[in-house]
Amino acid sequence: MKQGKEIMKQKYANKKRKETLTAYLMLSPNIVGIGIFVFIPMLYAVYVSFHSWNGMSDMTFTGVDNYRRLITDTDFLNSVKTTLIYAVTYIPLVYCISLGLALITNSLRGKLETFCRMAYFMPYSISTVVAALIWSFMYDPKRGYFNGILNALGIKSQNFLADTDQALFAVMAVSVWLIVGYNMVIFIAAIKDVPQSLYEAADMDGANAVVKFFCITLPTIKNTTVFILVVTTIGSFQVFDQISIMTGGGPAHSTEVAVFRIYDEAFRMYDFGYSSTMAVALFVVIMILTFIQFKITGSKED
Amino acid sequence: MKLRKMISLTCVVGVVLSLVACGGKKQNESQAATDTSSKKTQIKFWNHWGSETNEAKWFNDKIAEYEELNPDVEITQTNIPMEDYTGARLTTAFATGEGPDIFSASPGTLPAFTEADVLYDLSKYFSEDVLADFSEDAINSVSVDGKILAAPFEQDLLGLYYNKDMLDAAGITPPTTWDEMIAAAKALTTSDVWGITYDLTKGAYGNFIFMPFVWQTGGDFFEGDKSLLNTPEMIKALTMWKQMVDDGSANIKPSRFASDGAILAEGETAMWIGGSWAITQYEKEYPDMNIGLVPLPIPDGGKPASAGGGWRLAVSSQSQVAEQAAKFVQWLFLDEDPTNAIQWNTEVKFSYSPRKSVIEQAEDIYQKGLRATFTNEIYGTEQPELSMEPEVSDIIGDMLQNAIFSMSPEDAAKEGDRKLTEFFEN
Repeated sequence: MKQGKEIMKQKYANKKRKETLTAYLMLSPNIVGIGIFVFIPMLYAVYVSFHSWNGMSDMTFTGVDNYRRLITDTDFLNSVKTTLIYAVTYIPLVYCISLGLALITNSLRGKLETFCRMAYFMPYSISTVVAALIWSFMYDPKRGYFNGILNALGIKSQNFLADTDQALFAVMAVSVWLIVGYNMVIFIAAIKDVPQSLYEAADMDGANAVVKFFCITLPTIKNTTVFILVVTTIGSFQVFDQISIMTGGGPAHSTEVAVFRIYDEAFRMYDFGYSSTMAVALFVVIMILTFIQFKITGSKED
Repeated sequence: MKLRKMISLTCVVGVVLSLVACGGKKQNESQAATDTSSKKTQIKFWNHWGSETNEAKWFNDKIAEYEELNPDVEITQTNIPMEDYTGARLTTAFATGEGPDIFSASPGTLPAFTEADVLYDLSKYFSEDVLADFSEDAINSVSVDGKILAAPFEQDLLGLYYNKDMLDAAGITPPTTWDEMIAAAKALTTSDVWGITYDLTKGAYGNFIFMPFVWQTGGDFFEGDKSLLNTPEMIKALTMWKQMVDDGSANIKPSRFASDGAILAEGETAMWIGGSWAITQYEKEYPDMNIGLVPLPIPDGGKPASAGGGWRLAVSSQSQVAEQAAKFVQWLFLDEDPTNAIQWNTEVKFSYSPRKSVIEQAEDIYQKGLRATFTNEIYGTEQPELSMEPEVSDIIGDMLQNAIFSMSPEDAAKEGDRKLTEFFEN
């Protein structure tokens, strides 16, 4: 008997080892790819951040000079501030709109539901560049679509992308428009996973729709909420295409987020060393923020 | 189960093998290409002119001509869109050692290339006679420590183009002073049309078109290592620049880059601060538009001034075939016979050659149509576009942005002066 059990254990261990090996084998192309194209360049960027380099001639080692410059660099601090303003507005906006659309679409039935789901998702399939161009034309101060509507309502034409107060939010609108459909689909899947029995029980207790949402739906889709929030946060720090095409960081730096500042320093100022320093600083900032976010939202596993 | 595993494994292996095979095939192909043409010298010529433009087509013609005379040389022209070209493309190419052998460079980017030591010394390709034929300003603009690092071959001048029909309809005569220009821009602005268009984005071009207005007041940006930004002259120019934006007459969001003459020809604006490069575009693509041209308006008590821009051809010092590349550049624009230069400046596009022989021999062309205004009223008042390090260009660009969008001209000038002085001191 004991021998039999031993053999079973051995077989199980071997099978486990084979499965683990197969798993690693399947993952290896991805790991190698990410290693070559993401991790190694990241380490290289940290290396470059201690040098002065214009991208064309040789690098010269400058120690912590770049980092010392970073501490008093108001331009970079402003770009971080702009990024934070963008993030603090973008993340709640995306979350609420995505969830809202999911709830609305989920309450529909049949062809209308299918149509809504498709319509809201479609912007995601457009490239950011094309979206940025189309919205640029819509924002045109004289001949744009938006001012046409505003004028028809008796409101003065706005400058949108050429206004230091409006430009950042005008760009943000495009980013929101692009992503809410995608998040909506994820939310719909999560909402559909909530057991109907919970809602029926709540109905029996006489709960209205608002109570049902906050007490049943929201807590049950918590994991999805965390996922969406983290992904949206990271995405809010990465906005580049729209800014590059619609405003180029302007007017007067009002849309210059940190990522754009880093790009500008490298390719317009030919200072790859300092650009890498800023990139490292931004990396640390995002890492801390993501860590905090995980701590706050993701600690409890129900 | 086992069969499914076998099938999926075979599929995966098949996909991986085909990828490897494809990669291998490509390598073999490219190797074959270099083998058969390894006897020929390969020269890569990159530039910013669009592949459909007259400029690019002319270069292809000239390349074919040169290759016939020099059968051991093969030149490939690559046209890269402006935004890419002035963005990351060239820099990354040089950084990875994959840069071109010949490339076009503007006065705005030359200092960066000089600092990076990627410019091949072309001094010995200018014969004494040819050197004397070039204007002193042109040679100085491309020389560092007595070495000529790029070949100038064109000079674009700036002027004020306008839509004759729009001005006539509004009963306005073309402005000659700043006040007239400001008033005209205001009067010509409608719900569909901008009174005037000039570049309001931050960059080398935005700085370039602002330069002549500063010179008109008698001011300048810097002299050697001394900043001249916080001066009444600069503030006066900044105030004028800002005035038209505040009036709502300056085009704050042009539909295309502000150097494109189509902005005027397509009816988006009534007046346009632009350059001589637009003339051939107007004649070929918009022959029915009534477009006029006057010299840039001047302030009260100011003197006429324009700016002379224009691209240069440079040879990369990283190039393995720098000598042969330089020889081609010499054949193109530095030859004793200025025929190619004349073609470029009068047929391909319209611009002023830095070579006196060209201006003399092509006198007729320089009097045709709008060119006459440039030649008779603007030529001679221009100062060459300032060459400056990227940091200086950035400071001036910021000053303009601040003056227009976020600060008063006085504060913007003060801030710009502070930063420029700080830069010069380091």
